[in-house]
Formats: sequence, structure tokens, C-alpha cells
Amino acid sequence: MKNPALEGIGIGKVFGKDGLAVRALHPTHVALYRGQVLVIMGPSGSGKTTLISILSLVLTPTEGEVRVDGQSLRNVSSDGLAKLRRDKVGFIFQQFNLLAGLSALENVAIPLLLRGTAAKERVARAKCALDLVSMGDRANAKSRLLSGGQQQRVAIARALVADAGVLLCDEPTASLDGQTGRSVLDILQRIARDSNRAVAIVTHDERVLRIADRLIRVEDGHAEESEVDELAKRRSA
Amino acid sequence: MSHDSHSDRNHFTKEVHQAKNDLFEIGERILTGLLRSKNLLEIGRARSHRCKEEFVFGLEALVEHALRNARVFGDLSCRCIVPLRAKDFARYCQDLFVWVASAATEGTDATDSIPANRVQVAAGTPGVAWAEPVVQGFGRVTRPDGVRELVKVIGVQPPRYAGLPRTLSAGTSPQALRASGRIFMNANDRPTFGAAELGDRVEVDGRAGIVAGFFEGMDPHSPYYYLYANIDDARGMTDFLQDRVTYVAVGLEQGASTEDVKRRLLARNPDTTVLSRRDLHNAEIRYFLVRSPVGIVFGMGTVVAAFIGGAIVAVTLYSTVIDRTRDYGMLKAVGARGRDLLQLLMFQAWAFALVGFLVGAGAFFVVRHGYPNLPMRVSPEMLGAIALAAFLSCTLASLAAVRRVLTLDPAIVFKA
Ligand SMILES: Nc1ncnc2c1ncn2[C@@H]1O[C@H](COP(=O)(O)OP(=O)(O)OP(=O)(O)O)[C@@H](O)[C@H]1O
Ligand SMILES: [Mg+2]
Repeated sequence: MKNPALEGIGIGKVFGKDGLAVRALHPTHVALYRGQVLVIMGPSGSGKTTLISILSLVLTPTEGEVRVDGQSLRNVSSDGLAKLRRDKVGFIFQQFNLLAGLSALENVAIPLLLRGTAAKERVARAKCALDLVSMGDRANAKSRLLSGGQQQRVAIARALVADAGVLLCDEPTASLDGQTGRSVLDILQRIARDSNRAVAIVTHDERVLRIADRLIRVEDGHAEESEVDELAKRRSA
Repeated sequence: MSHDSHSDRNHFTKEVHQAKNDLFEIGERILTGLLRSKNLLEIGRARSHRCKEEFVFGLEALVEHALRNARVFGDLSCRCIVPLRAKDFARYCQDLFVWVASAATEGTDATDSIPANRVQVAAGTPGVAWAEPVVQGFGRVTRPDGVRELVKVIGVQPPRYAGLPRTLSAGTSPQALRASGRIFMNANDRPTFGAAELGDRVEVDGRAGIVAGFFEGMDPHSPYYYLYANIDDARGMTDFLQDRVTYVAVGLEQGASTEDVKRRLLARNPDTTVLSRRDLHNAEIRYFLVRSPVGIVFGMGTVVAAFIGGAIVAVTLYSTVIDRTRDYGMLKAVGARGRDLLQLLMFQAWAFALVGFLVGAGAFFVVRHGYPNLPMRVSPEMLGAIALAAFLSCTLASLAAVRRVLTLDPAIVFKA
């Protein structure tokens, strides 16, 4: 198989120390490949957010290490990690996390702003990204005035705009109704297939299985890869 | 040759004109950048990076403009400022003198008299070109409405009239004090004396003084009027003893070092103090700040105001950060480095500083424009120092907010 775009090797996490220590994640191996949608499922408190936080480079694991394009991150400074997140990873959050006062276009342009991209190019690329999620016509709308589904699509555009190879989504459909959630999933699937990116989705929403190429089930801090149940896939379609 | 220099000047004038126009345009651009965003803070938060861009673009243009026109400005200063400065300096050197005064001197008001023979002693000191006495005393001046008020009368002596203000009104000549019973009045006091004109009579302690001239630019912070007279009249008006003087003004020989002459004068007059113009100026300021309540009251007021201002900026910045923890967390998660966030926060802090400075300086100039008689002065150095202080205090005030943002855990973005 191809090289993984992002790989967690033996990553585990213990919060706190000594008597107060909580094991949130047992050491596990996770690999994200381009062109694939990886779904991470599990009940509440099982360790899904912990896992995706580690893969996102915002949480340092207590065991193991994360590799981006095969490069180890053992000795990378926090600014170095920030740069890697900026250039290699796109984020989609349950709460969208758009800047309320900015327009859709301005929100999408943030990662480019952080990269120091020139203004003209910023606008052009942000427009392109908005077109990809069919939000081109609302580019100048204030983000707080958009509906939940529209906001999530803007957030997806923001995650796409910098051409990051990896897209990490935490409960992307949890704040959306069924119909809107379905269309967001379609977009994510299209992104993985058509623009050859690695997409990982954390969720406890069974309907997400419809677009899953691989599945990791997390239970009580134990993450285990399991077969995508064709039946489950068809049922939720 | 003359034709050449003429066309050269024409070309130069055009360049200056162009530079000035550019400057206006840039100023406008910076202003629109500031005004476009409804809330100044939002510039820093990239609410609309269009505004921010406009603003930054304006600043960039300003720097570029300054560089591009460096030659023009250099030329300008060579042609206008340098000769002016040189002329000023020459005049300053010409009448460069030091003062011999009572050892008890703390300021121009807080001084005692010294024996009159010090004038001769000073005149005979090596390096001294001339020495002239100055007396200063208090009397009562009668206003046209009959009210008698305290007046400080300063008596100066021909031929140099050392001690006269350097800012005599146009048309006033020191020679006018040669005749007896003549006085110079502060132009600011004219309304109080029934729109005093040349030739009007003013009574000081029963003696008539005829207004022979005016001086300007003196705005004494003391609760009494100032009059200048010749030394004999001044003695009469203030009952000043014949064998005493208040100051000896000492003119230096060309090339003599002020410090050397000061030292020699002090050696010959050990019971006095010898002050240069600058010493006297500093002593005056010190006296004003330390001995009068003004220094303490204004000083404390300013310090307290500065603290409160700083605290307000600090609290505002900090609470916007707390308010927007999630936003800052998101920015960190999507790859904002420490310096990106620092830039963002500093932009906000400095927007505060800039607005504060502009509002404060604007208010100052508006008030000064509205009340030209108020003794309000500000030097470019002081303006610069105030701008720097505003800049520094806002930077300091942002520290808590900066710390908070830099230590923020980006992992919070995944928490519901
Ligand atoms: N910062 C922390 N400090 C201490 N314990 C933590 C911390 N974050 C998570 N945990 C614990 O780790 C375990 C896994 O939490 P995690 O947030 O990864 O679960 P989750 O699968 O995302 O749950 P949910 O579906 O409710 O979001 C939980 O027991 C939680 O209490
Ligand atoms: Mg979670």
C-alpha cells in the first residue's frame, strides 16, 4: 500500500498523574491514506476526541509518535507543529468555529492569511474553495448569518483552501439535521475521492458509515480497526 | 548660471508640491482604513482584513513616500531649516550670558539680592565681555477699575538691557526704556488694563508709568503681573535698595567657555551662585514642580490617569481574549504561530495607543486653538515622548492578554 499521509504509531494518552491519572487512549496504530475516508466511531467518553486531537497535532501523546508524510514529530517545537498544522492539516469542528464577524470569504482565507499569501491570491483561492462546497454565491455574507449547514460548508472550504493533504473532522454532522448532514458527507466523500486527500471523521453517528472506506471502533480507550459492514453501509444510505 | 538656478528652484518647488500632495493622499488612505471598520479593535482581529490591509498599505506607502522623497526633504531642510538654525544659533551665541545671583536662588522668583559691587567684580573677571545689573521687586499696580494688584517689576540697564524678554512685540525697542517712567507691559495683560495702548499711564505704587512697549510669549505661571522698567524706575517702584541688585547678567567674550567663566565668577563671588541660561531654566522648572503644589497635583494626577488608562486597556484586551478563547484556540489549531497571534494582539494594543494619542493630542490642540491665551506648549520632542509612552503603556497593558493567548491549549477546539 501507498505511504500514509498521516500516521499515529503506538499513540496513547494518559491525562493527569499518579492517583489522578486517567487513561483516555491505549497505545494504538492509526494510518490515514490519501483518497480514503476513515471513520472513527465509539460511544461517549471512549476516547475519540483524544485520538483525533493527537492526530491533529494539538495534543501530545504520552506514548508513541505521529508522523506527517513519514516525518517524525518527536523534536518539533510548538511553532513547528503550528506550521505543520497550517500547511498539512485541515480542520472541521462540530461547532464550525467560524469567526462570527467575518464574511464567509474572509473566514475561508484565514489559513492563507497565516501563510502570508498575497491578498489577490487569497481571495481567488478562497472563492474557489467556496465554489467547491457550493457556497460561492454567499461569499460576502457574514458567517453568523448563515445556517448551520452553510456554516459547516464554509468550515469545509476553510479546511480545503490551503490544499492540506489531511482533513480531520470532529462530529461534522452532529450539529446538522439529517438532510444537511447527508450533503456535508457527500462533499467530504467527494473531497477524498476527487482531490485525493485523506479524510478522517470522528463520530457516533451511524449514518456516516455510508461514506466510510475504513472504520476504527473505539471502546473504553481501545481503538481497533474493523471491517466496514456492507450491510450497515447499505442500511444507512 | 542664474538662469540655471532659477529653473532648478522651479523644479524643486514642483517636487515639494508633489510630495505634499502624496502625503495628503496617504494620510487619507490610512484614515479610511481606520474608519472603514466600525470598531477599531476589529482591525486587529482581522474582522475585515480589507481595512487592515488599507491601513497597513497606507503605512507602507508612507514609508515608501518618505524614502522616495528623502532627497526632496533633505533639500528642503538644507534650504530652509539649516540656515534658520544657523541664524538662531549665531544670535544665541552672541548674547550668550550667565547670571550671578544670590546663593539662595531656587528660581527666578525665589531669590535674594546681592551687593551691587558684584557688577564690577564680574566685569573684571577674565572671559567676561560685559556685566549689567538687573533688579527685581514687587509693587502694587492699580488697574483701571481701581483694584490694586501685585506686580513684579524688573529693572534693566542700558546699553544692553540684559534681562529683557527676547520676545518684544513688533515696534517695541529696548531704547524706549531710556527715558524715565517708561514701562513694558505683557501683551497678554492689555485687556486687563483697558486695552492698553502705547502712551497709556499705569500707576505702580504711586508712581506713573507710561506704556512704552509690549512683550509677548511670556506666560508666567505666577499670580501677578510682569512689568519691565529701567533700573532706576524699578528701584523706585519697588523700594529696592540702591546698593543691592538681584542679578548680574554677564556677557561672555567670544570664544570663552561658559564653564570656565562660571568657575571663575564663582571663585570671585563665593557667596553667590552662577547660573547659565539653561541652569536658570532648569532651576525654574524644579522650583515650580517641587515648591508649588502644581508639581505634586499634576504629577500624581498624570500618574494615576496613566495607570487607569493602562488598566482599562489591559482589562479590555484581556476580556476580549477571554470572550474569544474559542476563536483564538481555532486560530492556534489551524496553524497560527506565537508570532502571528502576537502580531494580532499588538495590532489591537497599538490601535488603542494610536487612538488614545490622536484623541489626546487633538484635544490639546483644539483647546489651545480655542483659548490662545492659555499657556499651553508642547515641543515636538514632548509629543514624541508622549507617543512613545502611549505605545509602551499599551504594549505593557497587553502582556496579560498575550500570555493568556500564548498559553492557550489549542486542544480546546475539539471540546464541545
Ligand atoms: N483534559 C483531560 N483531562 C482529564 N481527562 C480527560 C481530558 N480529556 C478527556 N479526558 C477523559 O478521557 C476520556 C476520553 O475522552 P474523549 O473526550 O476522548 O471521549 P470522546 O470519545 O470524544 O467522548 P464524546 O463522544 O462524549 O465526545 C474520558 O474519560 C474523559 O473524561
Ligand atoms: Mg468527543
